[in-house]
Amino acid sequence: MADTPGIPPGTLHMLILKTLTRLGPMHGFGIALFLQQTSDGVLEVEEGSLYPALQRLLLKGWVVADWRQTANNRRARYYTLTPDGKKALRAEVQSFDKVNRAIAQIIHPAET
Amino acid sequence: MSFPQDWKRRIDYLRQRGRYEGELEEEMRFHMACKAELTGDARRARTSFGNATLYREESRAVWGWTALESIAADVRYTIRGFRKTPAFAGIAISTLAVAIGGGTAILSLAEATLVRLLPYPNADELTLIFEGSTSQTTVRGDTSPGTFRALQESMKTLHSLALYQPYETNLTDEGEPERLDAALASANFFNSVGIQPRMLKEKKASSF
Repeated sequence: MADTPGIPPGTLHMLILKTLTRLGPMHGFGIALFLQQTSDGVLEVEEGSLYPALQRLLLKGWVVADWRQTANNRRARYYTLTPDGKKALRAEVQSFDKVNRAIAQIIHPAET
Repeated sequence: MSFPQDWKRRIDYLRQRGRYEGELEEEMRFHMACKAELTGDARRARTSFGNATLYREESRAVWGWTALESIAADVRYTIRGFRKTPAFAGIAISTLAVAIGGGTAILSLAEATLVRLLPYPNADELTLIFEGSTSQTTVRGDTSPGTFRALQESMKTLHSLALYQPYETNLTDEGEPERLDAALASANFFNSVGIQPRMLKEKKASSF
C-alpha cells in the first residue's frame, strides 16, 4: 500500500462522482474496481477512504444510495449521482484542471 | 450544498443511525465478499480489507455526531457509576446543589445592591447625603431645618434636595393594630426622586 502512490489528496470525491457518471449507479466495490482497472492499477482506493468518502457524498447530497440486486443476485448498496452531484463534479473537474495546468507549467516549462 | 439540506440529512442520520450503521456493515461485508471472489482467497480479502470497525467509525464521524455520542456515552457511564455508589452520588450532588445555590444567592444579592439601579427616573443621579461631625465618631446625625435650608440655598451640583427620616409606627383602627414602616419626609420628597405617588395630600408647606 505504501509503495503505490495511490490517490492524490482531495481528488477522491471527484473520482467517485466521475465513476458514477461513467458506470451509472454502482456499489462501493464496483467503484473501487473501476478506478483500479481504468487506471491500470495506479489508483487503488482503500476501503478505509472509500466508505467515509461515500458517506460525505451522501451528506452533501451529491449521491443517493439504494439497495439493489447485483447480476449474480446479491444485495448491494448502489450509489447514484444527483443533479447537485453533477454540478459539484463539474466544479471539481474545473478546479482540478486549473491546478493541473498550473503544476504542468512549473514542472515542464519547455513544453508550455 | 445548502446548509439546511445538510442539516436535514444529518438529523435524518441521527434518527435512523441504527439503520445507517447496519447498512454500512452489510455494504462492507458485500465488499469483502466480492474481493474474496475476485482473488479466490477469503482470508487475504479479509486482511487486505483492514479494520472494518475503524472504517465504520470514520464513516460515522462524517455525520458530525461523534462528539454528541461520546457525551451521551459519558452520561450513561456516569449514571451507572452513581447507581452503584448512591452515598457518594448523594454527597456529590448535594455539594454541587449547595454550592450552586449559594453562588446564585450571593450573586443575586450583589446584583440587586451593586448593579441594579433603583426604580426611579435618572436613578444613577440619586445620592444620599448624611450630616456628620468631625469631632464625633457618629457619621449619621440628624439634620436641623436650618442646615437643610442652608444646604438647599447653597447647593450647586444637585437639582433638588429633600429630607427623609425613616421610622416605625402603629396603625390602629377597628381590629388588630398593625406595625408600619413609615418615613417623615419634606414636601418636595417625591418631586426630588421624580415619581408621582398614587395618593398624595400635599399641604401647601410653609416651611419646606
